[in-house]
Amino acid sequence: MTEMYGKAFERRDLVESLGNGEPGPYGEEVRRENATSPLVMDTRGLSKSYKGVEALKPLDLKVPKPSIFGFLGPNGAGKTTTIRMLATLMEPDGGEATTARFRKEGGMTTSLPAIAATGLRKSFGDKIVLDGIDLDVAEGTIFSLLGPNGAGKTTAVKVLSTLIAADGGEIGVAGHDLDRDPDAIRAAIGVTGQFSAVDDLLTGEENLILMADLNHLGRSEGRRRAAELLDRFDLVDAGRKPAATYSGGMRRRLDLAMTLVGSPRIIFLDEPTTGLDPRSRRTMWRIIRDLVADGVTIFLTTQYLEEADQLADRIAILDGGKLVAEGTAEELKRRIPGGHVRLRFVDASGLESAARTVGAASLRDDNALTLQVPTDGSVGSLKAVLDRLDDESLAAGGLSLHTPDLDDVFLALTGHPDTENLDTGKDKPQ
Amino acid sequence: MKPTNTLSLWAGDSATMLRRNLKHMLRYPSLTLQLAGLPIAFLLLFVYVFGGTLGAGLGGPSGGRAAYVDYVAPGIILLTVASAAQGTAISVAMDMTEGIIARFRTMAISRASVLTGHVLGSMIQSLLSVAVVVVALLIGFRPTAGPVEWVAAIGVLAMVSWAFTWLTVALGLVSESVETASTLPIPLVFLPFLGSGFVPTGSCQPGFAGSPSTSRSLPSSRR
Repeated sequence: MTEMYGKAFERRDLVESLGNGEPGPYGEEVRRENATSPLVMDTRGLSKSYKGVEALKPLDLKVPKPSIFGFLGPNGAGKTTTIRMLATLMEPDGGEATTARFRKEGGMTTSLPAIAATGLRKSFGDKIVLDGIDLDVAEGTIFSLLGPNGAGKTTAVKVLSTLIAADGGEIGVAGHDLDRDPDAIRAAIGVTGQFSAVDDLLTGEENLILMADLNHLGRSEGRRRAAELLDRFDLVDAGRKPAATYSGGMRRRLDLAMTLVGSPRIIFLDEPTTGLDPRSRRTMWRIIRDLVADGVTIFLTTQYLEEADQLADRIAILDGGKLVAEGTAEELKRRIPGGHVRLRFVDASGLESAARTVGAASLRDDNALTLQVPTDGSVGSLKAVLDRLDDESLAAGGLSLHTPDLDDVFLALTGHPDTENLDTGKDKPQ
Repeated sequence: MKPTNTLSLWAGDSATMLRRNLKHMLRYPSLTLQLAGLPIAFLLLFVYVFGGTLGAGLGGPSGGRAAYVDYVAPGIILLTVASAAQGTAISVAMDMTEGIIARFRTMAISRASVLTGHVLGSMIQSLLSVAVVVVALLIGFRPTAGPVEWVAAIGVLAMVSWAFTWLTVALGLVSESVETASTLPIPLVFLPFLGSGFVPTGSCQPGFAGSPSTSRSLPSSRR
């Protein structure tokens, strides 16, 4: 991990690897003349052996500015070995390689993670808050850290955003090492914390101009940016009023707008919608989606499962200081069998007959007069259940279809007692 | 546009923070007024309530209230500076309870600029509240100092203010709450009472204060 964030991936190399005037992966206009490194790839004495067989003798390779570099040789000459090392897929035995920040992965070129942490640990006194977590957030995606209150979500954000030091672990943010170059990270990130970080005595506009000044945008550019953000966040009318007079939703919008003044490439949002009404929450979601469309990476913590489901490309569930699951919302839901049809009956005899009809896998509740029949959520399986009832001339008073959602995942993985019920799902015959 | 060296980064960010603090003073003038009002109240109290008696005790040629105005005005000015410094502790502590400090800490700005802004803002505030001199002049303060001595006096006040302000910034930072922050610097306000600020030290308990001071002109009355 250190290698990845060391010298090998300086941003100027990345800029250098792209054409002039095109938007770079950081959204900026790429100017080749600003680049200081003339080389996209640069190796010195790169060597590799497999089980004592020398695959690559010490190799010096210089690939200049955007160019097509032909690399010819017979089979087994070491071409692939070289590429694998340049693409950071393999550690060289000797020498060093400098490559722009790209790597090959599964046949597709993907950028290095915006946030990468291995073994991140943090404790306060003898209370372990983060117990060695690994994070890997790809550039331009929304990553959601989900967890119950006190799981350590905010601590993770504080560590990654340079506010507090970790006790251990290798952490890289925006291609910089957290220990060695926190200022470079600060220049690339924006943080909107759980508690509003606006200056109450200043107006909305002054808050934004304060941020512009601290980002050294210059007077006219700062004013232009402030006006643009006020407009974008629907704060034009309130722009000249002190922030102390703002409603909760307005404060959150101003807070996020302040974070955006410096055009950060990675944004940490710590429970951005906690305490907002549904309308403000949806507005916030729209804003967050728009940000990702611009190529920004978002690290979102939330305790709302729906929010993670709606927004996140990848979700990690944090519980007791460890990541208990990670994946896309779909992957996580697949891990938890929980889909069922809930049939409601008008009397106990109906329930009794139905329970016998649909089989042992069903779960009956004699008090609520309901029967839970596991299904995979498809129309076919639903129809099969209803057909069976029909065959016996049984009528259900009503039904509701329950597909597994993140709530099930969350409750199952964070050790709540519902797990037994959830286990009665898909694995059993329907 | 972005400053390249640490010093220009610090200067630029400090100027930004100073602007922020000055705006705070404009938006929240009650604190400024309260801090400036206290010394004026003390001035009027000491001159008009105690002034007759205290002035008689000075033993000067004129005696009485008129002499006491001249004697007490420098002490009041020092009290003003201490009182303004108390405001710094309050505003620093208020700032620390706000999320915006956490925001600053995640930005690539000069770390010291937040405090520098506070100190500079507070110094401006305290030098402005030295306008208490005007009130003193109105009620009969007749300093004998010349222009050079006035400049020297302002210089000494600025240095005292600088020192007090950093001290109270520290007090503001260690305070757990705004209430604590407003209480901690109060001893500073009482310091002039222990010296020759309000009565000649010769009239105090022996050994309690420093050497007697008889000087009454503004620049030289403190030591």
